[in-house]
Amino acid sequence: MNSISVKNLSKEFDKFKLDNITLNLKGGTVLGVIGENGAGKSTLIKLILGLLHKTSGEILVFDKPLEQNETEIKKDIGYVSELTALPSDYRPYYIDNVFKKVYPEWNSDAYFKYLDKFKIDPKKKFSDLSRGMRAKLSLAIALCHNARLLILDEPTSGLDPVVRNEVLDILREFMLDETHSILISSHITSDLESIADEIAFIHNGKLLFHQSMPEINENYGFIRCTKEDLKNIPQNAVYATRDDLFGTEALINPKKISTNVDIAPANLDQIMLFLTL
Amino acid sequence: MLSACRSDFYLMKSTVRFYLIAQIFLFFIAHLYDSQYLYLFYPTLTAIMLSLSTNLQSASTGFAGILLSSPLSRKNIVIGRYLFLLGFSIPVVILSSAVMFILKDATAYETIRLILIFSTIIITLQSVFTPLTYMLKPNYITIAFFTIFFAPAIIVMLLKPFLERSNFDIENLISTIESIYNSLTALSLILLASLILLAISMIISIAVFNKKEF
Repeated sequence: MNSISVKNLSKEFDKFKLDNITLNLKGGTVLGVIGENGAGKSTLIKLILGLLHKTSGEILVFDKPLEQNETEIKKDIGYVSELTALPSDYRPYYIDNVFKKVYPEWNSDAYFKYLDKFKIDPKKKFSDLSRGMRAKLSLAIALCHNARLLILDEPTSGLDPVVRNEVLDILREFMLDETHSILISSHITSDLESIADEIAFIHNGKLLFHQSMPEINENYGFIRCTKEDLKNIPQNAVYATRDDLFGTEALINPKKISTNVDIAPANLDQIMLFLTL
Repeated sequence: MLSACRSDFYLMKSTVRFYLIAQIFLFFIAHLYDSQYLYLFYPTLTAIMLSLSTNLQSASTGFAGILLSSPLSRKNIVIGRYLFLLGFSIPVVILSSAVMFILKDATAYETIRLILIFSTIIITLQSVFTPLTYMLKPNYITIAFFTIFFAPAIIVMLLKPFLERSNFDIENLISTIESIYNSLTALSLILLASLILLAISMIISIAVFNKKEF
């Protein structure tokens, strides 16, 4: 069963177009969406949540068309946005009072346990919560109504490494249930490398690739060499190169190289950097 | 839709508390100046202020996006907003009238008449104003608020010289208004008309909100 299935999805704005995106998120997997600022990651997420209206294409969530089943589908989705913003005098316990009437499976006990675990005072004003606490509060909301799918838009953005690690641990715990899945966008590619099963790379509104982590490890390698050495590598194996004072760096396809070259695994940062050159 | 109404209440809880405290303070002022309109002018003003600030708060904090990611439908969110706004304003009008009834020794007839008049005014203003808060950007909402609130007074001021020069029978108009004012049936019918306007307003707001993107 697919948790999310997007087919030929497009959204046009005045100066930007999310163009013909097709991807699937299978149940039990974590799909990381990467791309530079303004690439279209948040647009994709907002389209999947119905916060934006698509120009064309199809969005299925849990194999049901989103438009016809929006309220039913959203009972099973937990959403964390990059900018969790509530009025400054809003207090965490208000959320329980509101959402226990909104979500049929809202679990107040679990919510307050999460607040306790995250050391968030339920009566503290939202304006008095640190950025890390706001992110955790947002995650607590997403986790307390028995959601099967988490959609996270830059959940770890602006958090220190300790809090980021805590957030990732919570996500790993969520994924212990095999029916659960996560769609997560992030600039912090190291976070995605540690949690994602698949990566979708969006650049200028277009999907450059959607591959599993083993496929990425197989298909992308990184070498540093001289310009002369690079000439010995088949051109069809080179995705992109970059010259600097000390030589040349290249993102290559290791499968297409038969000669003995020292190839390092390419990380997502390098892939992003080279494929957008 | 009650969930959406509840959500708006918590969103605006501190504002509502502030308005209620100010209302109690104004009871004293109204009693001091012995003015029945002072009892009811403030609830009318706060009704519109609440409509304005709820939409501003919801839009500027991103709370609308949080609600829309929940199982609440857009239609229920809009109807919930109307329920919240009227659920605050109308009870405050009734409360103010009841306080006036006790403190000013007003007659029951007069109290009911004022409840009908001010409920009609509030429902009409909400009906006109709420769709605008969905249509306009936050900056323009404030401008629209002042325009709607003060436009009638400005129009009357502008028309006054014209009416004085022409043969317009202003006394006849005043006596018509007075006869409506003194008839509970007429006031009830006008209230009914305002409720129809409210239903139309809700339909417009839902249509506008359905097209909105967050």
